Amino acid sequence: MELVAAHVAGDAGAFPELMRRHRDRMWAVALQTLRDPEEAADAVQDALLSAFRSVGSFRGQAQVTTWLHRIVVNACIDRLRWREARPTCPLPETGPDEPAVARDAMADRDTRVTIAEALDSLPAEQRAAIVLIDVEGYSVAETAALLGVAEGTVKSRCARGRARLAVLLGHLRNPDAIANVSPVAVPTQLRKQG
Amino acid sequence: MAGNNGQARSADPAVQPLSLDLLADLHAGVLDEAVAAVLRARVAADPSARTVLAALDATVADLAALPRQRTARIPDEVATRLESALAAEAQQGTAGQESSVQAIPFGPGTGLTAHRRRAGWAGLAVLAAAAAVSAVLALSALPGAIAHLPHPGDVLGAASGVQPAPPPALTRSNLGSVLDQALGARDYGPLTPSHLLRTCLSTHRVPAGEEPLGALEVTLDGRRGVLLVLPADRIGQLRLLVVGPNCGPAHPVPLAEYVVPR
Repeated sequence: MELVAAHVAGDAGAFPELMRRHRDRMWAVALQTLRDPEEAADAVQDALLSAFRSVGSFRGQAQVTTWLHRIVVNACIDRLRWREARPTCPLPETGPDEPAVARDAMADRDTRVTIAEALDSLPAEQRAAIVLIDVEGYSVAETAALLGVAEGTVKSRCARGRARLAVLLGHLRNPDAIANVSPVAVPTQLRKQG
Repeated sequence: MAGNNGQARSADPAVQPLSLDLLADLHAGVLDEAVAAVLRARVAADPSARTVLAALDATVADLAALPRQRTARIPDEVATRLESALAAEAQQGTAGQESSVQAIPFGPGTGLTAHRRRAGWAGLAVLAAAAAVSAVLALSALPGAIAHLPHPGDVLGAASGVQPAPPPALTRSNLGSVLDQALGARDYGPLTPSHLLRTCLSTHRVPAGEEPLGALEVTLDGRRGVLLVLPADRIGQLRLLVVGPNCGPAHPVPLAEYVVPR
């Protein structure tokens, strides 16, 4: 908050310092949400420029961290919506936490790609909530603050997204056949074969 | 019924169907505790419902196995780019420069993407209040064939040893300052040869056979790109599309997109 105040007061070095302190976490959120380093870089840049332009109106209702992350998450969601309108090719996972030698590297990679493809098929809001909670391990409350929505909305988005993913990933191979359980609509071409 | 949470939750939990949506709500903690307690008792006696909850657990486990990026460090080149973009933005603000194009942007970061999507491409009617631009745009440069031109700098540099001028460095707020320069130009930069341009145009839903009214390699907020000047959906408007060097189906998000009056 001191850096924000300093920036508003005219300290030219304040915002760059703010950026340096938060850019790694903003990058992490963008990278995991978009899974494309180039798009993640663009999203973080969009977010930082947006934050720079609007910092004067920041009143401190939220923590600076939350405010910045909300902006980057929204930048990511904008990009995901753009993708929804224009289908793209899924890209492979990369990340610093990938094990150097996997137990079954190829199988794990195949699974990750499948999960990645399934995530890509979710609506942007569901995907953002699931990535933050189920992949990144944020709490429901943290995720609600990051997305700027109620906790119940976050839970509901996760519920819808997980139901869809359960089918896509083959954990519910034939939901239509499960007695008493009504299926969710899933694009036929995305259903896991076999 | 699946897909209608409000209806599902308002029904009697003792008898309502255990739909996948309802079970997912139960699994995610969406439901009131009293409702959840009734449903959990029913699930305990229903193997099919237990199968669904197990599938949801397995799904969450799959997701948790993905590599977390929380500890990811931003690459140096990206950090450098961000600092450059921020410095340019700060300089722009300090200089107090005003945009020569008062257009309404749409695209990532503008919040108008969804609006455009809802409106539909054919119904796009984002109109800018840009009196300044209409006077300076003389669309005398009709589109010609897409030339297989090398980058102008390549020719100049190879022939004379003179370093080419760098692409104009722009921000979103002064993009319009190069409109005159772009109109009629054929500086496709990284989008040459022409099949790359065609792929890019197709990605951005430019009809086959429709060619840009102009193209200029630029850097926008520190990012290399190409400004494409295109006819807009409405007569009397231009679509300014700034795309990255990898423009195509794998990278469909433009760096910026505006509609301005001619």
